[in-house]
Amino acid sequence: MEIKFQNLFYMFPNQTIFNSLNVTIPSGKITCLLGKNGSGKSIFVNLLRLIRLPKKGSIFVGDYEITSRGMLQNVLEYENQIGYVSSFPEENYSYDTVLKEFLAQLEKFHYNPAKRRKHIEDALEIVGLSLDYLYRDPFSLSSGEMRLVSLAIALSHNPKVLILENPTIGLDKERKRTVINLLMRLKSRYKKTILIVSQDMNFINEIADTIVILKDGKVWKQGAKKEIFAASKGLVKEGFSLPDMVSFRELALDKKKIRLGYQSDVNDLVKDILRQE
Amino acid sequence: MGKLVEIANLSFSYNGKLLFDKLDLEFTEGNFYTLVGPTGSGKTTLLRILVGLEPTHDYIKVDGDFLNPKNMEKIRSKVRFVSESSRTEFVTNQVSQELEFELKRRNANHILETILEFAKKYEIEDLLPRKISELSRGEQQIVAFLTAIITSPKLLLLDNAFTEVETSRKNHLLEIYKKEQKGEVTIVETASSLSEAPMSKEILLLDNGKILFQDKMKNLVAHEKELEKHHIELPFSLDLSLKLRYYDRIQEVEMDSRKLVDYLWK
Repeated sequence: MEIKFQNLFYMFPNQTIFNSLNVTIPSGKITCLLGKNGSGKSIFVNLLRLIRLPKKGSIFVGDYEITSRGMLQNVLEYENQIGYVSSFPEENYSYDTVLKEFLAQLEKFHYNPAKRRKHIEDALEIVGLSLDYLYRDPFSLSSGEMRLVSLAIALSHNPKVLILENPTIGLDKERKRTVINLLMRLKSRYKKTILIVSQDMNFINEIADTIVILKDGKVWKQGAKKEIFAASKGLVKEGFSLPDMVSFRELALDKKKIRLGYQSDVNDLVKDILRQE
Repeated sequence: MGKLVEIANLSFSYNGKLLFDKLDLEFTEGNFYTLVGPTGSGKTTLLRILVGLEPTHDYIKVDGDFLNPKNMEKIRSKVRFVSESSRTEFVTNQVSQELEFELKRRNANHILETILEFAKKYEIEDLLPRKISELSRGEQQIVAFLTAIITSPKLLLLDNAFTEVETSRKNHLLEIYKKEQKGEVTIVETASSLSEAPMSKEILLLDNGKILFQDKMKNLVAHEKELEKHHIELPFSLDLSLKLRYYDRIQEVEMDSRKLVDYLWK
């Protein structure tokens, strides 16, 4: 499902956030949304979740024009298509067991009670959590565990669009790898459209297809990941951090005039370095 | 330098599971520590114990005082804990008022001057008059951090405190802070991977209820296998060095990217 923002305006009494924002998030790809603090990343996400309404302009998600009045009748149907994982999972927990959180979600979207158990078990399995987690108090989970549980809950109702905020916090190497592999599969096999907001540049370097950078109420840059990171000097000048591999590449070029290819996998970087003699 | 924190034989259960198993730990004054461990290993809980948020009767000393109800107020005045949810714990709704509240709490003098000087140092003058509820999440986390440091704590605990803040901004703030403090604060931050911890001086690995090692960042290569075993990502340069060394491209590992580049193409 393609996401399109057309001439979007959003403002607070003393601050303009979006000033005729035009952007298209491609369907079936992983897009990472970047921007300095206060550039509107959260607002962007909240507009998609129908938590905020724009002052002017339109937003299209697949066939839904979510800013239109007619949308009121389709809210639940639309929400079923959006899976959201918050940067603060606790803020969305209401119950004392993980199982109840799942059930509340599936109840909301009128899932057949007989089939719920299977959806829940499948969801836990794909994020790599054991069934024991169903009986845990969500508030007692560690930071990383909460994010995995929230991801499972978001996937349990099979949304076409996944919006993830800071999904790698608290995740060690193994869990991060599980999430990365899962997201790749969700994209290639299940054709989900995935939007990620994250400060983890190395994660973004590995997983993004497209990058959108917000600035001053508009899209400052948008393009394939490789393209965006190739223009790394511009990013640094604006105060953005670079993925370690991209920084390294810059250093090799600046200090030693060595041209390394753009890489998103350290093993490919190693091969490239070995080739340079 | 003296011992700021001493923990001996700490045993602690959480949710019926044994989280710490006769754990020993020491933090020296003025150092910067990164506590790493796999997901669920107890990093947050350990920090919460140090600030008195989890009950314990074990041998724990902070700045020379035992952690018990009698000393709690005294200890709490020296320890600040900043987590990802600190941004929901503000008392006022204006940045300058929040800083004022902190200073008043510690009976500080010259509050207005202190706030202005502080804001200039940390480049947040434009944030002072803003309503906290209207700030972005990242800006709120920055304010939470600054509120914690304005009263010069002796021990600063950072648990995912900068999750919404861009890395470059976070590092910049911590640089300013470290320069300011000149070794008078001990900082402990948690992390799930070491690529997140560029400024750390000492690394501790927590898993299976114990501190498995505590060592300087520069000696990390000696613990490479253990970090791998407990699923901790190595810092980029170290990881790259190890792989290049495996192929005999280099003989020694290098922890710093710039030095690695120099070394690779002398």
